[in-house]
Amino acid sequence: MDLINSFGLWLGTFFILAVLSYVYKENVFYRFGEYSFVSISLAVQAVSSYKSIIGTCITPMSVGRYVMIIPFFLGLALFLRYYRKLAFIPRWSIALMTGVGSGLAIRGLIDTNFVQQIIAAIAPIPSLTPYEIALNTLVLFMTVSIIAYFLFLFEQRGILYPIARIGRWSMMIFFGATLGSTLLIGLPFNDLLRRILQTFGITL
Amino acid sequence: MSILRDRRLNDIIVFIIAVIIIASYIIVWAPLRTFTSEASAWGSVIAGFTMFVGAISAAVYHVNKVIRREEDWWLNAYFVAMLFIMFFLGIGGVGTKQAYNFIFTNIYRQIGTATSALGGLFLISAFYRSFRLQNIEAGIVIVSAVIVGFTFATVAGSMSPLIKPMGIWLLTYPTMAAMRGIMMCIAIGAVAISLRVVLGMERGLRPIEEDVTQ
Amino acid sequence: MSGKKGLGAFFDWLDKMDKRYLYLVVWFFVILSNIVFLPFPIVPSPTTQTSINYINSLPEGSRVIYSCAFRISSWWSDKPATMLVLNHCFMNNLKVIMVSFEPDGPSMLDEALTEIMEQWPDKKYGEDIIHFGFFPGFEAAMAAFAGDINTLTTTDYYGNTWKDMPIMEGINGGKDCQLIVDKTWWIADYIVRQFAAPYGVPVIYWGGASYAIRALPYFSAGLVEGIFFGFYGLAEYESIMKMPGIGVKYLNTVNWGFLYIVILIVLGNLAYIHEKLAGRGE
Repeated sequence: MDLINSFGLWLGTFFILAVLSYVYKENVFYRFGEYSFVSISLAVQAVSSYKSIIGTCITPMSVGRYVMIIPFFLGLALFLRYYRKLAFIPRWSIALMTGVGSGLAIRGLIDTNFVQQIIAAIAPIPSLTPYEIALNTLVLFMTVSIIAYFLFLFEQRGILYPIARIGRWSMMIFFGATLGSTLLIGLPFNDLLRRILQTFGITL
Repeated sequence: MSILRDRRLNDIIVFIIAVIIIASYIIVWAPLRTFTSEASAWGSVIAGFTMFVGAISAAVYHVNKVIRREEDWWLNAYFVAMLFIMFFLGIGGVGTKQAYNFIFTNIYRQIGTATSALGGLFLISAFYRSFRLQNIEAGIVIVSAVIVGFTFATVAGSMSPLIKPMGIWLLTYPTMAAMRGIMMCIAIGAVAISLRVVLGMERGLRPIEEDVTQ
Repeated sequence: MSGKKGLGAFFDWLDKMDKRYLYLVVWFFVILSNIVFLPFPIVPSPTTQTSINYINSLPEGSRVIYSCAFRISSWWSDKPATMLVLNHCFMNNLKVIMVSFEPDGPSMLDEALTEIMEQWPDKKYGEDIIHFGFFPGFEAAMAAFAGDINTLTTTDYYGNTWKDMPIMEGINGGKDCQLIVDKTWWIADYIVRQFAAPYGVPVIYWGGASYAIRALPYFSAGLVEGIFFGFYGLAEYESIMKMPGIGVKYLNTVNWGFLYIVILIVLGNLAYIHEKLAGRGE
């Protein structure tokens, strides 16, 4: 067992170094690692899908949920795309997925990203301290200014121009904050370093 | 038979399913919600099959490269071999689980971590080259990025007790307000596109016309 | 290039330098971070504290869905996060329903499940925890899981009929659960749209720090009960729970990495300002 674990460590280290060698220049080791990753990734997806199809289709059908035969055949029909004469059948599967996806997206979006956000933006202030009034006004103004920035129905001039400009600056605050939160460049390296050292029997 | 081949049948399927799902959110009626759950489950099943189609398409592509003996065809052969080995190990059951986990942990996981580390590296030169105070907008981005970075990096928080509260304030109010505005604008656009899809007006989603009249 | 002296020559050299040396310096800081520690106190964010308080406020026996949508490339940090959530739930006698919406998830959750059952021998599979495996289709699978699990599957990841299990008593779908902890590599929109909005299931979102920032409006609107900011959230969570792990350990690397980035930004701007002044001088 120790031999297998040891071999696994060395194998992992080899692939880590193979992928990181891309920093120097693209080479055959990197491509080998890349092909390994993509092939295993696709295989893992196929395995997970296989197990989920067994769990969501085959097993329910075996206990009486015969209606699942329909999505099962619609799913199998996707392979008919390679056969021209019946290539119209996979379109039904795609149509079903498109309908489900669009419906789920619309039904949730309007409420969570629009209505609830408007309510939250103009909700009454719990405490009437001047500071909180100012803060809520600022938040509301920034939100409106960003919406004004995306108004392309008419030319942004007059009063709309400075408001849209402030909207643009507000978005820059958000982009900067997003960028500032991605300062984790060293972290995966830490994990890789420990893994490489573990291969040589060194524990940090 | 021509009705089954008609493109409008697909538009009708999309429309009916989408409208019922949207209605189930507004009208609290059990059969509508049951339909939504059922349709979503069917969508999930079909999505599972699409992953198979993807894997097979990739295998076919690489097999063609091997047959034609293109450059580095041995890599393509390795790809196909690894794909099938891993797949059969995965579905093999308890006996092959150890081998599957071995490859998953020692190869897949390590390459995944290394790839994400590599992605982070390319940010480094971006930090040096692109983060320059060229105008007001760039200045706002940099200041905001540094303040938020200070919020999360504990070393900066120790320099002054005000840094973390300032960062939290920046996140809680201006950043949140900005994201709210962006979110609402994205929602309007997404709803517009989704409506076009539901109404069959989105030509870009149609498959390329095949010679199905034959 | 000729004629530039002092700072000008330095910035010129920096501009023309092979960028791969910058990447090499990252390794230097990573090694340094394992030798020189900057032990500064971790001050938890309000959102982290709110999330932990919410989990602590749940009555014993509450069902918590642990929704996993992360990928193998982040398992080095997602595993400690998963173990922390599971430990926290078990400490409070909460019951955990694990489900994955990414294909990499089931194997990783299986690994976490094996470990947590070793740490908590009195907890039983099927009574205190269940693993549903992977459901493809992302949002469609979430909608089906939230509405009625029967439509999706009759068995768990290991092939057992889930309806027979005590943990699923009275549970038809995610809508009947008391909390969903969404550990994901993606945005919060999907889980909010399919769990919080239609059924009012409380959501605690744990995504990458940049995606967690995008979830702040949901937190403000009350659609999300709490947010963990990626890796920082892990460090804060470990600190509050007094269970130090890699979150606290690796925070030192974050500190050193941050210092490096600040140096780069300062150097870049100094070079730019110098170039502008030199250009005006001419």
